Amino acid sequence: MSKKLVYVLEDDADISEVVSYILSEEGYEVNGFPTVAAFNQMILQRLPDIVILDIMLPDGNGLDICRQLRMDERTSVVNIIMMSANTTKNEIMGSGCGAEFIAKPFNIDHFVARVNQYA
Amino acid sequence: MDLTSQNQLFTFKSIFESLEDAVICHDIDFKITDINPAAERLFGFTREQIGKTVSGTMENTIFEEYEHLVDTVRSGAKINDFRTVRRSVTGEDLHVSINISPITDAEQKLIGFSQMICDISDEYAAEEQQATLAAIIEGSEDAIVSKTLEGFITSWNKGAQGIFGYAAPEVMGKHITILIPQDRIHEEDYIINKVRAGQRIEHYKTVRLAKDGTEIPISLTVSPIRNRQGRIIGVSKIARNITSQKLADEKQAALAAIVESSDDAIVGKTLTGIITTWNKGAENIFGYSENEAVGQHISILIPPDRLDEEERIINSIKSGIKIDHFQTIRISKENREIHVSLTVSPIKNSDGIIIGASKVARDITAQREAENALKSNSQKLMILNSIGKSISEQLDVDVILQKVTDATTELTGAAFGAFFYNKINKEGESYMLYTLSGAPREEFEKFGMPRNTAVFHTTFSGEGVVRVDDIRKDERYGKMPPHFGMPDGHLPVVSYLAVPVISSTGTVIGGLFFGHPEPGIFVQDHEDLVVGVASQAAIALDNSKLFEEVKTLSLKKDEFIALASHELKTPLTSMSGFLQVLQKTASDGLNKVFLDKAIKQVDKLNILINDLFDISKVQAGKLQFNFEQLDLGALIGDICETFEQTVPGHNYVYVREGDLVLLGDKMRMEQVITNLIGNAVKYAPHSRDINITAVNHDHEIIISVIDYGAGIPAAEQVHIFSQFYRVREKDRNISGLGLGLYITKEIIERHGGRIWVESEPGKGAAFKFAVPLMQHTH
Repeated sequence: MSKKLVYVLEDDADISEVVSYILSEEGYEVNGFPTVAAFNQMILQRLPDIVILDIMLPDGNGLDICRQLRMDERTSVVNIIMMSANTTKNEIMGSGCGAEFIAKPFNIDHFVARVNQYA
Repeated sequence: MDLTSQNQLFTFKSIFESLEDAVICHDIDFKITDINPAAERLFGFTREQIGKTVSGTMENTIFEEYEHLVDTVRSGAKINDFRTVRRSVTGEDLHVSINISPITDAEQKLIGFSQMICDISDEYAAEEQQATLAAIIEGSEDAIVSKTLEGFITSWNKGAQGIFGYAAPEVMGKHITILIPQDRIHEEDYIINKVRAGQRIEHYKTVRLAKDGTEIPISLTVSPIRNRQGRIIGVSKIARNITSQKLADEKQAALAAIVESSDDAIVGKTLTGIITTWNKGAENIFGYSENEAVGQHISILIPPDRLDEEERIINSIKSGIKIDHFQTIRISKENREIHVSLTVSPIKNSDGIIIGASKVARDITAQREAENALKSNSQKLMILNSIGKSISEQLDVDVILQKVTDATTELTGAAFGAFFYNKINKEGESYMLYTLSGAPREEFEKFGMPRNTAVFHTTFSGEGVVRVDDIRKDERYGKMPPHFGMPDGHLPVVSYLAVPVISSTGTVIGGLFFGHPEPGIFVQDHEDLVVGVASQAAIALDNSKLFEEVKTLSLKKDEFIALASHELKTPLTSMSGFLQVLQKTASDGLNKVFLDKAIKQVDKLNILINDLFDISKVQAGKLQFNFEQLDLGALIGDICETFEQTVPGHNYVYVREGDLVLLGDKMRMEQVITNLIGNAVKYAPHSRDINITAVNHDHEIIISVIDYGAGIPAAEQVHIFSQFYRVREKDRNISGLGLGLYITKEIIERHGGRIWVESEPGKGAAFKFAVPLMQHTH
């Protein structure tokens, strides 16, 4: 059974690194993207099982990407987990994009449990 | 008998027959010898009496009297003018005067007597009358005085003595002028002249002097005294002391004068409502003349919808009750409504029976108008007050300007009012219309914006107020082509008032303009009011501008805090991540202990940042909630478990009871419970037990978090939910920003609940909150 593929769209290199480390340890194949542009380049080339989205990004907004993925039938099946420092779960619910939400900073066990539900 | 004797006899006989007085002759035995015709006439005797005795012609007592008289004559004395009474044959008693003479024959021998009886009935009656008059005169309280035509006093009665103080002997023969005051001497000539002309003077009111010099008001009746020939020989004068009457008269006159001169309407009416008296005041107030009003029914003055008042008033009067200051409305002849204050009193006759009502009506229209003016002034003040308040509370420019325009239009009584911004278009002409009151916007817009005319310039340059009774006659008016005044179809402005609105910096923000189709509508008061409001408006507009600036700044602040929070959390996130990764791989020992502590500090740091971020959201009103069905009982259980693991060393004693489901935001409620238990742990580190209870009570869920620490002094309890407030500020070893309870309170209140603290210093503290139980809709 092949490893599940996770895309991490996160502009902060350290966060990206720690998330990738944790998920790799859990047995996921992890690809990190620092920008929306880089993410968009890859998303259709190789569809991930799970996308972990930061919200405040240098060239876009995670919520927009979430909606975009949901609306495109090619990507609508992808599981999405939003991560943000400021945005609350309520705002995610109100954004009209059905997604898991994890606040930053996060508890590793909690985080892993959330990701694992899609494995 | 010789011829001479014969002739003599005939002469006597003729005299005897033609005498006016009755003569009866008789002999010494009282046998009648002759009677003359006068006796026949007087007593109804006939010649048949001759030969009969005298006693048969008179009463016994009278005859005895007569015998006695005859004896007297017989003895030689004379009976002359003896007055007595004799009865006629018809039984009439006659007052008579008797002379008795002896009759002798030629030898001087007494042969009989003749009695000559003179009827003095008239004389007697006159005497009697005089005596009566004298008695009347003497008994009269009036002074009755007679005097000669020359003015010398000839009689003086007791009444005269009573009034004037002189006794009769003192004044008899004195001149009447002793009674007349110096300044009234001329009256005497007038009186005498009248009397000489045979005229009577009646009730001549004047003043006379008493002996002691007092002036006595008297009423004189003066008549001529005539002698038998009808010649006027004197003057009789009756003087009545009218001091008391005069007082009464004076009082009545004074009353009449008061009634007549009163500005109040004084009206008398019968109990059936018929007007009986009507003074000048009534004439002035109601417009009806006395002739028009008297005899009319009082209802001519009463408005139809108040007719029942009259019945009530009359009923009151009938039972003798006076009506005081009854304020009502009456109508005048011209059908004008008059506000009156009525006082109605019963009129009683001398027997005390109520026969009518007197009505005093005071015209209080002016008073009412003054009251109304006062009311209108207070209304104006209220408008001013409310406009001042509402515009100072307002920060929206459009709303401020509309309110100001509406209020000032109302205050000035203008037909229309407008605010124009002081903005000039590219052509340097138009002003921008902003708000309008009293006329639809199209009325202005069809003419384009007002133009930079001489009339408007004064206002927009801030030179001052323009108030004109008739703008068409103002020298600044009508100079500007193409309209040279108001264009056709413009709102009809005659009265004109324009007030500049000048900001605190001196900039003319714009102008308030008012118009009315009648001339002379706007007065100084209006100008003052608008100037007052304009200055308030200027302040409000300045505030509004400041507010806009602050709002922008505040928005920037929020953005900054959001960014700061994000930027702070980004390193915190990776730090937390790395520490947790390390913690999982670290062996027991010092490394693990330190890593635990580092992670705890990272968590604290995270809470502080969250609080800061939340507070900026609370202030901006942007704290968002996601209300859903939430089992608070279960949530608290989970949190207690977490605390048991993360903050050991305390007994978290959780007791729950009943249904504890509410409509709430799970994350925010978690924040609240965590904050309260966290505070208990933080402020009561030595409290072994932390009691948490959740109960369902009267449609509410009541949560208590109780510690047994130092407690909170009463003085501090009131501040504890305030921003940045921390109990025992000096106690620096307890960390925190003092935001937790403030945010907690906000969250509870947004859930429709309330939070409070109960604490006794030294015994611990109980933080409690109540939130509404979810209403089950099944």
